[in-house]
Amino acid sequence: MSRRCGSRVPRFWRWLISLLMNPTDRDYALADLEEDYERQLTRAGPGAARRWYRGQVVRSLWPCVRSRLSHITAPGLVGRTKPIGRHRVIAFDFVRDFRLALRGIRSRPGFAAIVVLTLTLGIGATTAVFSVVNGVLLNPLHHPDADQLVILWETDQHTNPPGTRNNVSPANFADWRELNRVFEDIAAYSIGQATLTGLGNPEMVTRGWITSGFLWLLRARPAFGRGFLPGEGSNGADNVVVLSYDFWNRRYASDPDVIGSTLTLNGDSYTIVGVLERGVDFLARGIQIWTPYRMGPSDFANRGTRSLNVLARMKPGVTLQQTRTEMAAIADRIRLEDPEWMTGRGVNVVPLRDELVGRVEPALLVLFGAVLVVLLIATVNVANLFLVRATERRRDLAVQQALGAGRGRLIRRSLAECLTLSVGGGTIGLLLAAVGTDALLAFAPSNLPRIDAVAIDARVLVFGLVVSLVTGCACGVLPALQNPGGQLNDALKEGARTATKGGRGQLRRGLVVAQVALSMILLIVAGLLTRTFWQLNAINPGFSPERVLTVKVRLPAREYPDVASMTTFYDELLRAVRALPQVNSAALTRFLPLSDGPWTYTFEVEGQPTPVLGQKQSRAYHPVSTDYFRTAGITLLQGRDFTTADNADAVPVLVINGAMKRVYWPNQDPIGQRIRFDFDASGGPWREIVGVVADVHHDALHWDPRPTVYGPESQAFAAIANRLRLLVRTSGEPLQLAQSVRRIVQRIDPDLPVFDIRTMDQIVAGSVSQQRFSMLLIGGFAAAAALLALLGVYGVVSYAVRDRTQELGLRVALGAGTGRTVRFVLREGLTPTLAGIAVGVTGALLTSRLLDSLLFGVSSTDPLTYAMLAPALAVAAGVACSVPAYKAATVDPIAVLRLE
Amino acid sequence: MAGKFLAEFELYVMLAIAHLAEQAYGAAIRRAIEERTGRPVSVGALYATLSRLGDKGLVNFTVSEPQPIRGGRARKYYRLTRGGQAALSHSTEMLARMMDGLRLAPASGDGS
Repeated sequence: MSRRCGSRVPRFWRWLISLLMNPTDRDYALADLEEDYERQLTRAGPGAARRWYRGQVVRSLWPCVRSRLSHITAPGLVGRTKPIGRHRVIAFDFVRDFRLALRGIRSRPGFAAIVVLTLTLGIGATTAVFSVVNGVLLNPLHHPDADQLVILWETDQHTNPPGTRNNVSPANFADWRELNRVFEDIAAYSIGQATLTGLGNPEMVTRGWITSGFLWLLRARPAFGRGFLPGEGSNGADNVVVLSYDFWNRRYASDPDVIGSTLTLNGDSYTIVGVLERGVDFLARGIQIWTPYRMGPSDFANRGTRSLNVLARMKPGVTLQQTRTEMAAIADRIRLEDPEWMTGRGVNVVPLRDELVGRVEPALLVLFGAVLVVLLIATVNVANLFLVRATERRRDLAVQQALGAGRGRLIRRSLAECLTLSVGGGTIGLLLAAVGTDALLAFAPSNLPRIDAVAIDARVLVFGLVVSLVTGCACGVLPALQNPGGQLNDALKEGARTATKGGRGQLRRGLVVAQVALSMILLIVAGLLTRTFWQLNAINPGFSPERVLTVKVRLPAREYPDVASMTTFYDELLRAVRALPQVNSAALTRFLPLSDGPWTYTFEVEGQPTPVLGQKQSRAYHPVSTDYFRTAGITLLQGRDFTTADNADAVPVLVINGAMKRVYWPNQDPIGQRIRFDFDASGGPWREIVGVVADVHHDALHWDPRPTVYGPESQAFAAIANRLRLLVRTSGEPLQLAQSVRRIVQRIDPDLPVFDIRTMDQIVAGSVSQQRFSMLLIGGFAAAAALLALLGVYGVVSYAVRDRTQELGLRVALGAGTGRTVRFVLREGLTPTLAGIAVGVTGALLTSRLLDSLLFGVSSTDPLTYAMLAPALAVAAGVACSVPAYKAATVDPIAVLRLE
Repeated sequence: MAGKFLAEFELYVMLAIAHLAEQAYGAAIRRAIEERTGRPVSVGALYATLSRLGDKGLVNFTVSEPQPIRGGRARKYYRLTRGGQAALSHSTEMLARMMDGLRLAPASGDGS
């Protein structure tokens, strides 16, 4: 029974079976399972072995439960020889109630099946969504005392609303570090990719650049070796690298002698000085390799070079509010000293948790709210079923009461029955949740962070159990409270009508109103999200994504030290790719729409007044190759595209977008105007505008296009031109080209990996995947809610019809027409429905403002959505009433009266 | 005891114990039934039945020393009691008597 790494028995299922097995046999059964699991593993592999184990547990559930029940009840069945204490009497009573409940359930399997199915779906869906909420939002971050960790950003009032996140200039970073009294320390980092060579196939790895205090802030220790020393962050220090535990495990097979050996990143050699503890990561980015962040004197030249991300740890006891106040004061102070660069700029302090999950939090909470509503409606339906049954069993219960059963006794029995069913439903629901969570994650948006933290853990299990118990009690108490008290005699009278007089009918109708109202709210939410998704898809992104393949290449600095060598590579690549069959055009760009955030630079416009102090603006600059606009499908509005003549030796040229024209040359022809960017401290040459292109929604479909400048890649600088994305527009299936493109790249340079292979269609779809996820799930929940509510309406009406068959028969016999009968039935169903719709619409109007952050292009009180869905639900309810209405209309008065 | 009939699965379990003689512990019993009947047997059902047979006094068990490998656990070795042997031969005999002179169509695969 040795344990092999990575092939351990499934933990959840092992836990489940050990919970259920009789304690005297538990260890032996677990050992048996493990023994056979090992056999399955060697015979059929880990997947089959896990399935086998799961099957064993599932098929063991019922025998285990039955066996344990029979053991519990055993003492009650054999003769007692010694007096027993009160608590044991209660225990026996409980067991007896429970057995009676089981008997009741068995006598009406159809009823039990509907109840368990409804609760299974409700509890299963709720638990599955909760497991995602739990993993993503509730589980604390992995870092010790993560509550004290914050990310610091700069804000810019000119181009962005306050609260946005701009990178931090090294000079500000140094000053913040110096001046603050609220942080233990602050450290800078940057996360990116690097090419790893020399260890078999070239590979892209995720790399974190960090200053020396960073790992200490995270409280991450090396498993062995060491972290970084303060001196290793300066230019000219030795190249050193620290590996993540998983990377060391995968690429070095956990070789402990790895310290001191070297690896090659982007063509440079690095010495391995340490391996971090298992599980150290940051912002769930999967960082494999850590290197020191290098800063030199030129980085501190002015506060306009904003390149850093900054992490800080608040001192113990310091609150977020204190930190924000302190940092605002520091920003004020720096602004006074350096108005040129800092006017309008401030600091944004964001807790690490919000940085990681803040963007998905509203969507997940709305999702969780929606699934809770479904559960509530399901519970109401089940309660309604029990109410009906309690009515049917009135005489039965009255007899029991007449024979001396107390009210408490009857309530307990009713509760026992509901709890048995709800715990049964909850147990199956939990199994459903285990499967459902995987399904949920399979189509979760790609930007959902911390997916690996989603699992059925103890908290999820407790949640499932509590939900089951609460649901059971809610279902059970209502009908129990309605048990006959005063009307004992009525109930016992032969032939007494179980007329829906008074309380019970009112209660049932009230429940239906609640159900309809809740499902109305959910339908409106789903409708608003669907409209949002439509609006997003209706946006013209400014480029045409059909049949375009994109891949990324990155040129290491050693082999490609300057733009000239890069241009040689790019020219050869483009020539070869354009010669491929089916390729219509090919081009390169640094920043792909909806994928890469562009870099922005401050600049000045020739002939326009020197910017007011502090108002020096920065704009996005995109290096692209020839043919980029045609390949991406961006319309040229004015002037010309770049040509091969626009090379490094020619006059520097630019193409701007419409937004840029509107800001700087609203009533002028921009062609021939000149701009100078501050690419480094020395500034750059004047660049002439030769064309204007249409706006592209670069950052997100629902964000306005920002003013943007394009320049030929051959006239850019090395730090920005060294990793470009290749775009290939084809007349065939784009992904089929990937192999050919990879071969071309490898032919030109065998050490270059080709990575991030996607089509533009995938990128566009990915950019709205969160909205699609919300829309589909909430739409599904809303549909389920509406269905359950309609079942509720149907239940109430058909019960009313059955209850009043005699009355209806009498009416027909006395000459009431079919129309009147149908109207009576419809009124029975539609009155609570319309009341529910009214309450639901009001509720939606009051609460849908909470959705604002999830909506786009549609107001939370969108009249069209409301006007379409409210009548739709009413009509559906009418259809639900039509079956009982038909039954009522075709009542045979003679047959009915004969029953009398 | 011999007057009572054994349920089908109880019969299988007792026959497997009889087959396995000294080696009748949980996993071995489970595999023996699966191999002979071709029917999947869950541990839960097996231990529930073993416990019931124990209550009826038809089987008992001894607990072994832990297995001499890493992580080895103790096993429960089951054997038939005298009453169990009697019940088993009674049941099989009754079965044989009932079958006597009967020609059945061959079972259609799953053995149930």
